[in-house]
Amino acid sequence: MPASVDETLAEILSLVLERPIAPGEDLRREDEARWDSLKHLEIIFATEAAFGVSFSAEEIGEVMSIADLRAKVAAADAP
Amino acid sequence: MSAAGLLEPLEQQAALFAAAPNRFSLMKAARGAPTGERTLQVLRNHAFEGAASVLPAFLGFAAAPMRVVIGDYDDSLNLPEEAGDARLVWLDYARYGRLDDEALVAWIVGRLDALRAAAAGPLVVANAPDAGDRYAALNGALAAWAERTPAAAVLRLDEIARRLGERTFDEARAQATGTRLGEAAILESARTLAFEILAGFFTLPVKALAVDLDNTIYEGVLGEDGTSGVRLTADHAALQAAIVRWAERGVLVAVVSRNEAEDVAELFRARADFPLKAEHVSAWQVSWGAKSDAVRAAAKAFNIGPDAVLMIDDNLGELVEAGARVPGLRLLHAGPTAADAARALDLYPGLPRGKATFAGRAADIAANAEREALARELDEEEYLRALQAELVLSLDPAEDRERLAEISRKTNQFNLALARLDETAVDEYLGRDDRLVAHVRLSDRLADSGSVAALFARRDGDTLVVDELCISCRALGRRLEDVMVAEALRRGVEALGARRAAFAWRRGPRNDPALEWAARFTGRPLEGEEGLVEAPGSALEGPSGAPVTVKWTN
Repeated sequence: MPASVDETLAEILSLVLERPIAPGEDLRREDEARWDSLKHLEIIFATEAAFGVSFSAEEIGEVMSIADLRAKVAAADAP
Repeated sequence: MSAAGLLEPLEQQAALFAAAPNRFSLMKAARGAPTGERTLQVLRNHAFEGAASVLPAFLGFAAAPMRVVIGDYDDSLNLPEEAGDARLVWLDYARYGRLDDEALVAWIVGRLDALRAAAAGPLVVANAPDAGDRYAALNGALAAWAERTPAAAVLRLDEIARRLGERTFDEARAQATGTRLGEAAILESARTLAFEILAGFFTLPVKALAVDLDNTIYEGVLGEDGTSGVRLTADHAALQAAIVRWAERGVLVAVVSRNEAEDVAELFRARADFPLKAEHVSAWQVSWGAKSDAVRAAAKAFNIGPDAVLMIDDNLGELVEAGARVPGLRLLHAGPTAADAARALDLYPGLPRGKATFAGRAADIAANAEREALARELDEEEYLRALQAELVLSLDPAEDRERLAEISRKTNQFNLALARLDETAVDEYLGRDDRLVAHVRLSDRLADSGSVAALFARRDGDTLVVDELCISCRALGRRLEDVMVAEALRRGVEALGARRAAFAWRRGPRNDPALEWAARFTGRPLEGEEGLVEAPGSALEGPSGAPVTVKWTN
C-alpha cells in the first residue's frame, strides 16, 4: 500500500532532522532547533522529489511547518 | 554477511543509478550510511550542501565513505589550514566577471597549483557548466591542468549541463539555495563525484565482470527458447554494449551461467546480432553448480581476488547466494530492466575510467593456459626459453605516473609494503635525486602483458631502500619475479650510488605471495607485521643468466 502524504512527510522530516517524527505530527520550524536554513532546503527539495511538486522562491521562504508542506501537496493534487 | 545485508545495497541500486536521481530516494539510501574516517574538504564560493547531504549514499555504496567538510564561502580560494584526504574546488566562475578571460584562467590555474603543492591526496576541480567561449577556454585550461598534475581530476559540470539542458540552472531560486545550479545538476554532480572520481581513488578496483546469460543479457531462457528463440531487445543490446565497452578498457569478462556448455557455445556462434562476442569472454563458467563456485573459478582463472569481480545477474537469489559465500564479491542486479542495468554498469564505481587501461588483458589471460601447459612439461630454464619473455624497464618514466600510481594502489597479492602511493607520492620518486622508480613491461611469445611491475626506492646511507615493490597478478606464475627485481635493483643501486639494497615489507590481508617471495629471494624469514629485509649481494651483481631478454628504454 502506498504511503500516505502524512507518512511520507514524516519520513522526510525524520530523515532530515535525524529524529523520529510521527505521521500527522504538526511540527513547526520555530519549535525545532535542527530545522535550520540548510535543513529547510533539504526538506523542500525532498518534498518536491517525493510528490512531484515545485516550490517557488517565495514559497520556499513561506513554509513554516509540516502543515504548510501538506497544504502545498494538497493544492497540487486538487483538480 | 547476512542475506538482508546483501539485499540492502541491491535494493538501493534503483535510487543510486536512477536515470534522474531523486533526493527523497537518495536520502533513504543514505540513512545509516557510514561516514568513514577520510575527509573530503570542499573549497567553494557557492552552496555545496545539497550535494553533501546525498554524497554518503553514493560513497557508502562505493565502499569509500568520507566525511564532507565544507569551508566558508570564499571567492579568493585561500589555502585551508586543514588537509583533507581529498579536496574539491567548487566554484561558480560567473562570480569572477571583473577578470578578463585570460586573467581568470591564470588565476584559477595558479590557485590550483598552490593547492596541489600544499597537500597530497586527490584534488578535484569542478569546471564551468555555462556555455560560451569564455567558459570553453576555462574548461580547456582546467582539463590541461588536470592532465599535467598528479592526483588531479575534473568534475565535468559541462558534461552534466550538456545532458540536463535547461534543467542545469535554477536561477529563480538561486537566492534561496545559494547556487545557480538546479537540483538535478546538484544530484548528478554528487553521483559523478562519488562514483566516477572519488571511487577511482579510494574504491578497490573492479577487474572482471561475471555475467549471467538468461534474462540478463537477453530476454528468454536458452534451454527453453533455443539459440534463435532468445530475444535481444534494445535494452539488452544496451547492456551487452556496456559490457563490451568495459572489456575494451581491459576489464575481463566471464560468462557465469546455469546452462549446457554446448548450448552456450552454439548461442555465441549463431547470434551475430549480439554485441557481446565470444572473443570478449575470457572465462566460461557454464554448469549447473552454484554461482558462487563459478565466480570463484573465474577469479582463479584470472588470477585475481573474487573481491575484484562484479557479478551481474537478473536473479536476486543467485546474487545473494554468491555474495554470501564469496566475501567482497560486488553485486549488480540486472533489473528491473536491462536498460537500468546498462546505466548502472556505465556508472558502477571501481571500474577503470583513467587513461591507464590495458586492453590486451583478455588476450594475455587467454595465453595463460598455454603457459601453464609449458610450465608443467618443461624444467625452469627450458620453460623460460620457450616463453621467449622480454622485460622492458624504464627508469623514472614521468609519462607513466598515472599507471605507476595505479600499480601501487591496485596491486594486492604481490604488493610488498602496501604503501599505496598516489600520484603526488609517485611524483616524489620520479623527481627527487635521491629516489627512483623502475617500471617494468613484459611480453612473451604468446601475448603482451603490458605494464606489470614497479619498484619505488630511495637512498638511505649506502642502502637502496625499496619502499614499495608491486607486481601485477598478470605477471605472476611465470618465474620472472627474480629476474625483473634483480635487474631493477642492480640499476637502482648504480643510479643512486648505493652499495646494498633492502626491501620494506608490511603484512596485509592478501599480500602473502609478495611476502613469501621476499623471504625466498632474500633467504631471510619475515617475522612480525612489518620491517626491512636486506637483499642478497648476489642479486646486485648483474644479469642472472636466465634466458630472458632484458632491455632498458633509458
